[in-house]
Amino acid sequence: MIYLFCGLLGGAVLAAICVPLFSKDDTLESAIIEETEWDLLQRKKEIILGNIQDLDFEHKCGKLSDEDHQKIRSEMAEEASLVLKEIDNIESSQDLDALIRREVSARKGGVREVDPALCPSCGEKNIVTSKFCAECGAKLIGQ
Amino acid sequence: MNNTRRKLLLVLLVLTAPFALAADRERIKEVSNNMICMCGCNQLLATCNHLNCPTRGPMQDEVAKMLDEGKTQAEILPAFADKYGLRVLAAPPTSGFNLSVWIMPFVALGIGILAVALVARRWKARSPEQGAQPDIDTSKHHKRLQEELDNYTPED
Amino acid sequence: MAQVGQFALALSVVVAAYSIVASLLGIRLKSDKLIASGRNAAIGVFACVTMSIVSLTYLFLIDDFSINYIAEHSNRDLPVYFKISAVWGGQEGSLLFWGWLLTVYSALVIFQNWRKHTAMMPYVTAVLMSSGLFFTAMNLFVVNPFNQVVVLQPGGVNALFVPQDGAGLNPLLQYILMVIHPPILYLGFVGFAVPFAFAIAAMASRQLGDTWIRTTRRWTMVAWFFLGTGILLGGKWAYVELGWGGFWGWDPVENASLMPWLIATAYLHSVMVQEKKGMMKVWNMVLIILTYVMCIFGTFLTRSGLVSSVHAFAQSPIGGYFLAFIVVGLSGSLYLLLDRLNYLKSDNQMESLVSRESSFMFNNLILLASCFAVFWGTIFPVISEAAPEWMGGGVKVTVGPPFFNRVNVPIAIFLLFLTGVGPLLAWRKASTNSLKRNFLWPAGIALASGVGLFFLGVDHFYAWLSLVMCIFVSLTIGREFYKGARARSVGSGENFVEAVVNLTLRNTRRYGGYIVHFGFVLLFLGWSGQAFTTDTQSETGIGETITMRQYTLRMDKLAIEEMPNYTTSKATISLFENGEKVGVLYPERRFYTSSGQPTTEVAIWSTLKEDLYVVFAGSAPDGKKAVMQVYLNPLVAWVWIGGIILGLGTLIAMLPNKKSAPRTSPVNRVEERREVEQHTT
Repeated sequence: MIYLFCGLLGGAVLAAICVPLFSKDDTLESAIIEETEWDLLQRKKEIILGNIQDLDFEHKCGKLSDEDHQKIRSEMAEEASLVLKEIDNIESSQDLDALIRREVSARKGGVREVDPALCPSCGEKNIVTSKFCAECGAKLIGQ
Repeated sequence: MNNTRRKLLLVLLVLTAPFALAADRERIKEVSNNMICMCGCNQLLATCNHLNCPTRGPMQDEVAKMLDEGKTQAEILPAFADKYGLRVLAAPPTSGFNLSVWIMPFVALGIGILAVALVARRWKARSPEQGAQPDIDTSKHHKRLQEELDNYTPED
Repeated sequence: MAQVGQFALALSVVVAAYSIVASLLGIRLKSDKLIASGRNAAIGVFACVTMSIVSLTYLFLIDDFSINYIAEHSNRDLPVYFKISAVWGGQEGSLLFWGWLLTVYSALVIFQNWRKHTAMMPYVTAVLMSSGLFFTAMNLFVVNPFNQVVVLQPGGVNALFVPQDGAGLNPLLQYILMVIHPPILYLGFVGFAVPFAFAIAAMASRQLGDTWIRTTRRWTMVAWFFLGTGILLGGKWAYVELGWGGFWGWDPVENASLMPWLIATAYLHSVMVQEKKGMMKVWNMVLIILTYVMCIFGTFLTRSGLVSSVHAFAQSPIGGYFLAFIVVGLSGSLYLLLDRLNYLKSDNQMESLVSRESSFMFNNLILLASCFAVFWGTIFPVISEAAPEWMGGGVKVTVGPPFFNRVNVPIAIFLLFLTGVGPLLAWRKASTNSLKRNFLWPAGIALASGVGLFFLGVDHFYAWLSLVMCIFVSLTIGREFYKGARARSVGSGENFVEAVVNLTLRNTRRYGGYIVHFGFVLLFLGWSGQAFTTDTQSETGIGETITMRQYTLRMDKLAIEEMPNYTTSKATISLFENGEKVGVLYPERRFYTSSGQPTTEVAIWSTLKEDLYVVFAGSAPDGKKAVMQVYLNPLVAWVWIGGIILGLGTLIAMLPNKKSAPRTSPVNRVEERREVEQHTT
């Protein structure tokens, strides 16, 4: 009984360790995908967008004076523009590497293949030619 | 005359006795909150609650006796420290080497404040003059920014 | 079965070591096969340690007293659930349990992130398995739970021996909260291994964006949640089981769990600065490293016998190993950090000292100062004893509650103040105008009620200050919800309640955070009540009464009952409030048969206003009367209520944000946009 348990456990662990070592299949499962300049810029953009949204909301709540809001918002918009510009630069340059990265990251998130007619905010299915969601008024991606 | 006076005093004493006792209890508790019970439990003398604790009773009696002699907490604590060693005090005295236990946290806080102030100054000093770069034309990005903003929902 | 457990433990050590080597070598040689093998090995370690702990549990259930650990921590009459909890009731088992939780976390992390963060995961595996290796090796070589009972025979020969019955579980641990308190606390301690591992992996793989922070955000909150809950459960346990009337005694063991919690709290706040502004990158690394090191240090503190404590584990030889592990881990991480400093430059600058950023910096400063004070006070007895005599050292001293209270109470109240101020400050820069808008009313009302409180008779300065701060912070939090909901309902036409709910679900982290803050306010409320406890003690016979304020207790019955596991003296006391009978209390004094240890079962009459806390302190010499100790503890219930709200807030903060944005009609949006464009151009 004891030997059976020990044998089973030992065997299973040994198999788990060895199978990948001797597998012929050379999938690039753990191919090292590093963050590129482009990824970082995208992330930076998202952060600034989020910050602006927060700022607008706080202003709407009345936590910020109009003056503060405008000043900070224009600063943030400035930063965002710089980031957008840098992204454009990378995308327009024939930087093959960056393009591949884009492709890869698109594939990585490929599960969320977007249907242009699906509303990104409420999920309502719209007519393909619509610009705004008939249900909630959100802008549709396809346009 | 003298006799009546004595009687009065006695009546007064008897009347106030329960209150005096209660006050003593509070005072004993106050003092023994600053001491450790020496039974080995490492709890405060006031809160040590071992069944038949061998030291709690005698120690509190001692405190009571000293209070009766009119001693203050400031006199009782050193007396106990002399008798049982410094270990009996629930917090070290504020003198000599032991002072460091009291001042170090505040020294650390001071160093921390200083460090934060320095870092903050450096960060502020680094802030570039924003108005100094009008050469980048950002206006055409504003529209795009607004579009991006409309499409943006925070990830999580 | 003991052999199976032993074998599994030994195997886990080997496999954990292999996992580290394979992962690191795989990165070096760029070999996917090795990396995958290392990952599978980590899962294998999980399987092995699981097998090991299952077999230990099984041995407890079948009362195998040939095993030393079981003979010392269990007995035949112990109820089944206590037999299971006894698995982690002592040194050996609790270390095994620690290691097991770590492998569970490791396996989960690997399944969750393997495909998402391919560059970091081999490092993550290696770091997690290094901790795993340490704990399994400790269990195998130093404190093995599967060791057999050995007695020294005359003639100097050791012989195996099977005792008839075990010594029993420590009676203080035979309490339902004690069954769940240690696992929860350990889930917290061990949980910080995950963000720590990602931090190290981020540095090692030079992926120093905020990916590692975002990936581990929920993990960190989970760990923080468990650690906090564990600490509170510990407090609750002390309150109902130790019978000295309080819930926090600044015992080294309590401090050991508080220290990582304080640093982790600082970390939870400062990561926001990095996420929002790309600042404090190095600092966040330092914080998460310190958090994990403090987790290990806490484990070390409670087990090494370094400091004497009410409930530290028995002394054992593991202290040195732990210290070595801490030193190696800390110096390794800091070396890596120094080496990667260039990659950790701030992206942004600080605009103003009056801003959200700087309030986070102060929050961090205060939390760390508090942690340092706790740390310093906890280890000072050791330092003082080790210090040379000419400096005044070499003396055994005690650093107890008077020290910690005096130092930490002002710090804690200032922290509460920051809790109210921080969220009201804008990012980047808050102008005086904005400040006035946000602070005038809350501060005014708080001050006014402060004056009121003073006239109501709150004469204890810190308690007063704490109550005023509680009011101030509650007001600011309420305002945040109110204003947010109002702003929301204007555009969407939702009613107020809907707006509050949607507001919270749309930004769970912020509003969950506010709820957590409110939980803290309630905690402080309950804690302020500690300044006003009163107690009385009396010998009471049957039919006699004790009076405490509006309460009268009448002793109805004194009985001795024999239970399988213990003998108990039980009092039956009728409780009258203002002359009306409101309940019956049953304080007990138990005497555990197998360990010969007495414990007390406190009877508590709890209301929102105060707790009446009755302790059966002992029997009077004649045996006819019982010594009853009665405490009146104001507001204690709020500590537990605050704890629950704190937990709920944390859970809300962990929810993913609800996606649907508050959309106004397209026409309005076009209008809004035009307006914005006008402003910005």
